[in-house]
Amino acid sequence: MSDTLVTLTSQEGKPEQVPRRIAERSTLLKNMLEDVGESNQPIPLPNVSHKILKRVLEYCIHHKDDPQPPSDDDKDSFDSSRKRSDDIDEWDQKFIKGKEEEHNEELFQIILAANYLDIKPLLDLGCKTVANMIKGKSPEQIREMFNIENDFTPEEEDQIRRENEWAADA
Amino acid sequence: MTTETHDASAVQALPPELWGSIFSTLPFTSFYHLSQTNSFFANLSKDTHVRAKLFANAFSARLALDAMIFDSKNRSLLTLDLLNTLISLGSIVSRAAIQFVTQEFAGNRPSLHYKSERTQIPAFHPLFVSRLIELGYQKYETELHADRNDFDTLVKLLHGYLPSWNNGTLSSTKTFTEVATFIETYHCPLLDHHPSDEKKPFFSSKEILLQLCLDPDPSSWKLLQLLMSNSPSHYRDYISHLNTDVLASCTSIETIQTVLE
Repeated sequence: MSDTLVTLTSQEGKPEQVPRRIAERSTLLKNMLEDVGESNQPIPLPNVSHKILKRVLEYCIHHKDDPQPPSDDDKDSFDSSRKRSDDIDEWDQKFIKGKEEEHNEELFQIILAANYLDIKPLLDLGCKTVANMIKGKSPEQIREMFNIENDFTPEEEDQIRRENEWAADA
Repeated sequence: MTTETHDASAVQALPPELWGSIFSTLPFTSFYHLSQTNSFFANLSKDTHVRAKLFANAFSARLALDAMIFDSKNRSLLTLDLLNTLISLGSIVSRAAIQFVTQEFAGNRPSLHYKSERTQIPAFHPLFVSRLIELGYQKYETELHADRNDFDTLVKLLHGYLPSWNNGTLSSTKTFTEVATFIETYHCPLLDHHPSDEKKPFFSSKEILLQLCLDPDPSSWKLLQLLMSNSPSHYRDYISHLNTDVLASCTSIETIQTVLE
């Protein structure tokens, strides 16, 4: 069963064939495949471009033998799956870094695809990477890095600074 | 000037819930800086769930955060919503939150920020109640030994939330069972009359009494017995008005008959 090939069709209509157990790293696809049963029909992924789909599959192939992450329904799992951003392994760091010139764009698209396909470890990796990019930067540096417009009036800026002052010297 | 939509700004690149997820993994200083970049992030920084996860992550990362956020300077951060969200997230966080609330009660502080504005009664998440009682046992049995003050603190706290049962906010059988066991184990004076009204028992809601009567769990009968022994006339009056069909369904019928006799 796990050696069966599954065809995924990207946003552009391009097919990608992968072993079922690779596709099942995605909870969305796993549930769909379980619901549909044996079928040769391609699965359309209208929210994922072909380029990003290939990147996501690259991640899934590398992590094919990892244990499945705990379910979100298990509230007590929070402690064991705590969110730290400094525990990314070397392969994952290289993978998520991608090409320097299109890093941000591709990173956000991978996060969106991981969210859509429900691949929790990849989603965590993407979010941790963005968090790491933000760490240690001033508000102005963050704006520049992510092309964020400062839409505050001076009064509003002062107010939010005061409201979140508790976090400033932590 | 924007060139491509997805490249225009990180704000539009991800939906708010994903930004919330990223926000909550940041250290406090970065959270502070990101919140100052623009109004989208400023608003997100005020979201209860984002804040709760931020605190929870920091707890889990063992950054000794409890001392920081629970000190007097930052007490106003802990709204009722935030506490309840924290409590629903996991055990480490719950323990810290419960510790904070019991300390607040121990200090008998008049302005508890997590009190409901409308009722001035803490409307705690049922998990909180459950864990609080659990903590009461553990503390009494293993940590405190002869420290009566903490036990009294817990009793004060229970006094604080018991009225929520009366208004229907809490009605879990599990909690009834725990309270019954707690009262029985420690001969807790919890079911004495309400401090603000000598004649008003804590459990005045008919629905709660009926639930106890119909509950097949023997622990609920214990609670019913304790209630009746504390305020027999009140409960006798109530039960005598139950119709015969209801009485026939009562699993704790012997208790009820004893009281009626």
